[in-house]
Amino acid sequence: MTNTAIQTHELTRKYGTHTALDRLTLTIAQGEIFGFLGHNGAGKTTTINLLTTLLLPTSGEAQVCGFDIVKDNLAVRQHIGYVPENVRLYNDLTVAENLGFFAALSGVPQIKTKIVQVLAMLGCEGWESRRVGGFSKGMRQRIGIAQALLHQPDVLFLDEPSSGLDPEGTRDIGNLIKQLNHEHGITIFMNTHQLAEVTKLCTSIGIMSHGRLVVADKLASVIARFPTDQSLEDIYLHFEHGQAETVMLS
Amino acid sequence: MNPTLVIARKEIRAAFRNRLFLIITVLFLGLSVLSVYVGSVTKRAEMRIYDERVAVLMAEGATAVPAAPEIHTLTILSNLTQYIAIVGAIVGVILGYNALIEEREAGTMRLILTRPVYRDRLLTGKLLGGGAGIAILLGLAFAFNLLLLITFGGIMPTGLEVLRLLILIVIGLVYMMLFFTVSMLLSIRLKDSATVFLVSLVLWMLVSFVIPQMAQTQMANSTVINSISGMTNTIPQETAASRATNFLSPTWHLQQIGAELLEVAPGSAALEGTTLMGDSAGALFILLIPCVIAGAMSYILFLRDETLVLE
Repeated sequence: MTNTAIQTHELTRKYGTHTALDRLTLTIAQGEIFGFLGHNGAGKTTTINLLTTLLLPTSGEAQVCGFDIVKDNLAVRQHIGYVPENVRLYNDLTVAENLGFFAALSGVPQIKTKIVQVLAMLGCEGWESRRVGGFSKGMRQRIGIAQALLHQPDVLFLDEPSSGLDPEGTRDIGNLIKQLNHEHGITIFMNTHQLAEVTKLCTSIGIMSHGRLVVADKLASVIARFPTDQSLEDIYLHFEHGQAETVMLS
Repeated sequence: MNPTLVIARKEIRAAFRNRLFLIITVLFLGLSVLSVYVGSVTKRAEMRIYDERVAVLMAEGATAVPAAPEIHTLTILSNLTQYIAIVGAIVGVILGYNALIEEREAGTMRLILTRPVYRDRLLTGKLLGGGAGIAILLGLAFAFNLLLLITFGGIMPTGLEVLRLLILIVIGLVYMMLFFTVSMLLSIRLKDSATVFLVSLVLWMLVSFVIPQMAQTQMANSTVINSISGMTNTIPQETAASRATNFLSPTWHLQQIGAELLEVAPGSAALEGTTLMGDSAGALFILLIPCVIAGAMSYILFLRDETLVLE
């Protein structure tokens, strides 16, 4: 694996005449927690869909963990984990059956041992035989993250990880993201609307507006460019409202 | 393990945890018990009446007695064809419509397709899993019916009778897979699960009831006068138009071959093995064609439009 976790060049995706993502050029180094911000429909989820190989780009290119998202899509999938917004999994199956299924699809050896390890890592010991159908949103989110970690990914894509969670659930997921990044060295790419979450967790951010990336830099560098009385919300709104100054990660 | 088999195994497990599928399976097997029981009782009653009549005739000093009623073992199981035609089709619809739309609505399809799994493997796994679920159900029905025939009916079927039943089960599998693949195809194209389920049920009603009913109206009615009682009976007879209409109904094909295999159709018990095999192969082929077309269209649509996963 290279030192760059994600690299895109002029990545574009159109749906008919609508351009959902317009020439995204972005570089994210290994070990970052990257917060991807933007209004609804700004192109955040399209970006995740492209980087996780769920969608094909209309033009441009991207590499994840050094692998091309089109030509080496299976290799990309072996190195990434993905947790969609509002993950639901299979309600009629137990936690172990759900995780076992996804582990088997990734070709994980010694699945049972791995499930126990991952559940322990996430503080979900003893959940194996419980059916997912009766779980709260926070519990599902943990199992959603567990399924993404079974094959030890290098990059984890999270789409609105704290969406719909109560404050305690949001804090727990936040701590978990930090732990995965600090203790296991996993690069995190996170779509979010939660600016407080970004401030607490992210090392770098990108802000999207109407399909275009308007800023991407270390969080500290972005904040430093504004007067100290400006909150991240003010900064976000400044960029989102079209005062574009495309700055790339240094 | 091969991802296709992993998906197929998960499908089987999920099917047997699906409450609706389980209820229908129990209903299917319960109806089999009832049907074999009623069939056995009826046949025994027929024999008892015949024995009583013979005894009366003998007591009256008759030298000749009427021939014993011809009872064919498999006719006791004749309702099995109807259960496959109706309940089986619904099972196919339930498994088929759920196969993809549930994954899409739950977001699990995204999780599968961000694993090292090609899209065609996902679809193949679904087909194999659905097929295996249906095969297990029919296998249970086969075993159950044989067991009931032996226990309730007190009849030990011959090898040929077991083979006839087995052929019906295989044709039933293809018939149910037809509804499975059509529902799966609809679930790829249509947006929500309720619409897919409704459209699938409408299609099922169309081919199972509406088309045969239309064919019925195209039959020629011939009137027969009973020379002794003077009463008239109307006997519907097939016409080219009714036959052509019925040809469009997979249910009609299943019922026709079912009647032949289970010795219900006149003269079918005496049919030679080659004739029986030829008719069965013909019915199998006719049911297989739309099944293969629906399956192939599912692959084409699913592989062509990658945004289907995201809806």
